[in-house]
Amino acid sequence: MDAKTPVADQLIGKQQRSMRLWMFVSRYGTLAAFLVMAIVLSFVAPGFLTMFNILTILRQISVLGIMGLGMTLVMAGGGIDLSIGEAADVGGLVCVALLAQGWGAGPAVLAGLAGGAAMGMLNATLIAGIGIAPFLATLGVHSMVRSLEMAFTRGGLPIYLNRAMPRPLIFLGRGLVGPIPTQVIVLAVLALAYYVIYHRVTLGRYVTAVGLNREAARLSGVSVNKVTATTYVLASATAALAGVILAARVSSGQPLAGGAYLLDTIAAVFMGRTISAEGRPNVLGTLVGAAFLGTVVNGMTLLNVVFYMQTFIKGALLLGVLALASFARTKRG
Amino acid sequence: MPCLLEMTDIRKEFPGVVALDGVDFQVEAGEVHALLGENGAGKSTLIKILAGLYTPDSGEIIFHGERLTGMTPQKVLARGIGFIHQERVHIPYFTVGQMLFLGHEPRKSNGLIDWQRLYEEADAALASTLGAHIDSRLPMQHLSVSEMQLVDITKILMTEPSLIVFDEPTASLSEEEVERLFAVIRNLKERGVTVIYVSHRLDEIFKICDRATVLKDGKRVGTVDVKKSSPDQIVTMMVGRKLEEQFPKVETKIGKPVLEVTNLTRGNAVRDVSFTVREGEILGVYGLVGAGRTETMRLVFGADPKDAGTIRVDGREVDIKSPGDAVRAGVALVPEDRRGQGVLVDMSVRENTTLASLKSFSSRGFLKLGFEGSAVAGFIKRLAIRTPSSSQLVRYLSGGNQQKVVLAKWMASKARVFIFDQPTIGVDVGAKAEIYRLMGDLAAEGAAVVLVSSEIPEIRGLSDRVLVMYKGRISAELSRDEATAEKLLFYAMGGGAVDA
Repeated sequence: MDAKTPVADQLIGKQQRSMRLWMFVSRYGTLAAFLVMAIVLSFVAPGFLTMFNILTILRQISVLGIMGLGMTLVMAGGGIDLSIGEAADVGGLVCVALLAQGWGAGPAVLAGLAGGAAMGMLNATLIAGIGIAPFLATLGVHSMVRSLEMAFTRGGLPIYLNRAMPRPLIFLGRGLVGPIPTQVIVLAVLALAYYVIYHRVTLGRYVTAVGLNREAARLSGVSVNKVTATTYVLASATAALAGVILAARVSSGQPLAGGAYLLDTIAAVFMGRTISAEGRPNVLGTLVGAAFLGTVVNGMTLLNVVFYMQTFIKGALLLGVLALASFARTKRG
Repeated sequence: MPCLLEMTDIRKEFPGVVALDGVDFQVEAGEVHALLGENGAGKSTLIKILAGLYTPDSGEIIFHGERLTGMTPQKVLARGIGFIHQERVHIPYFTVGQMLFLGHEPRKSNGLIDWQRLYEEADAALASTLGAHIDSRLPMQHLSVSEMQLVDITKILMTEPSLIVFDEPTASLSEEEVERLFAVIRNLKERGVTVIYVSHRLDEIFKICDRATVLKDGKRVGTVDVKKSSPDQIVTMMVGRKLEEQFPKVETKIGKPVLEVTNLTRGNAVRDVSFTVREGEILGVYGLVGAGRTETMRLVFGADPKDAGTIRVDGREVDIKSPGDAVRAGVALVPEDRRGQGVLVDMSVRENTTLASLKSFSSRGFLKLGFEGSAVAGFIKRLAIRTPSSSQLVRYLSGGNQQKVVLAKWMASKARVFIFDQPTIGVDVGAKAEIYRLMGDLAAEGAAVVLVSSEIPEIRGLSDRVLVMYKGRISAELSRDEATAEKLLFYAMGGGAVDA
């Protein structure tokens, strides 16, 4: 028996080394894949590694990133919001429609955010109040609001202004602070705010608890329904702001524009989960996920990949990253 | 009389527990045989081995003179042993007929299901089970619990078994339904079917059983002829004599009432329950599984809505509608399902400890992390929680240390009333003693403590006073000296109700 011990030790050592490797992969695989992709692109794609292009990527992901922040909180609380794109639409459309009625920029933006928040309250009522599963409740709202958007824009015609966009909105949608696009600044400020909510405010702690074990949280005295409701209202209001930025960028209200962001938003949160030690949705991770998706699209554009193949490649890369993370999780035991 | 079933020297070990330690169990053809024992005595394990759900580590099972080995539930059923399980598995949208013929529906020559024949045969089968006046075209979800049970019995009888095992069949039945079930069982006996009847309830044994085998701590205590026996004799067999564990009972000064519960009611589970717990007092609540103890405590804690009743804390009436209300009123519940309800296993020791009192560790919603950290460190030290750090996920702590985290959570919330529901289940002996000591400390500091337990030594060793529950009511209140094991079991099995 003694003679066997060194062999056994070696085996255990090997096993531990392999486990440590997979632990590393599961924790940093997404980041590493992101870095590898960026390095490859900087060699093969002309103009990738320039300040101008990096700022372009950041601008392109800011709407996705902002929507992802709200979704991060909802998913951390154990839910999902399939109507988040429509909340963005409501924000943009309400804002532009009121501007067209002669409202000032400030009140119009606030009304857009309020419209988003109202949608969040509808989701919250259905989920926390009535008890419909989040997937189904927000799917229903998603479908209803899409239909309303079409009905109120005569079948999906964009809402244009018969005058110039007010200056503050031009600044929000297309302006720069120094070299940095305003919307990137907005993303950074909101990301910080969400980070604080998540890690330094009681709400963030409650959201995590509710997401991990709703019943145990309830039996610890947490008002679980109030917490859940808050995440949906916050997420919709945040998405509405993203919608306002989108509208300001194109100087018009585009019906059904937000829906295009839904899958990317969910993908960003899922990719972000892989970089957290506990596998939870987290603010930083979502930003990395959004940056990953934005960089893929940017790189393919620079490389002149046929447009119709771009989403295919994006989907394939996303599945690759998630498969790696899931494989590494089972390997590390 | 011939032996229909002979289980000899059955042994089954689970990690850390010997569930069955060489049990012999013989059932004669044509009798109704009771299998008795306290919670954890080994009844369920023995039944599950017979059902082919567990494989015994050693031992022999002979049925109809044939040795059974390598059994699976299907094979056991095919040999003619049927089971009426406590938890029934039904498909709510299926009709009674579909349920009865699930997997062996009668077919027409073209291979399609012959619905007409299915329902005709289902009606005939139901009619042959005494008192099962059930329309075979009704969906299962429209049936009462008792009717579902009759469907189960019918389904079993369709396999023409020679032995049927009833595992605590009356747990969720009303008294009339119990009588109806007994009529069915007597009818089975007349038809020559042998019955094994697993139960806690003493009165039932004396109504329908011929013989009874008593298990205790995984061993067979003995088998008696019910007609020649008495409730006292059977209770004594179930309890045994020795008090195995020592309990550090701290003498405390018992002060004014802290928790006063009056006329608490919820459906049939909790009926008109009133009790008081005082400062420094440990109130034991004894009863068998299904007696309504957990349900009562969940009502006090606001985890379920109550139909009626008032709750006072420190003399003031409090309106408890949710656990949040209870926490604010100073009531804490340490639930039985520790990993599912007591702690959040994927949160850290620190996050768990302050979850119920996060407001006092924050100002205007912003967490005071430094203050929180030092407070949690204090609790880790005071309760001797063995964890590498406060950021360790609770998942990785032992059962006893997880339970201490639950305790820390409620101490941080400055609770006045601590309700422990089976606090030492799955906790090793050393940690048990520590949890007992902590309960004593809480009482000594003036808290009111409620201890719900199915373990008689625990109840007797720690309580100043004991309530016994039976079928949703308090069947007895005993002082520390009165609460002998015999008396506790007597009242827990409805003994008082039999006399009355």
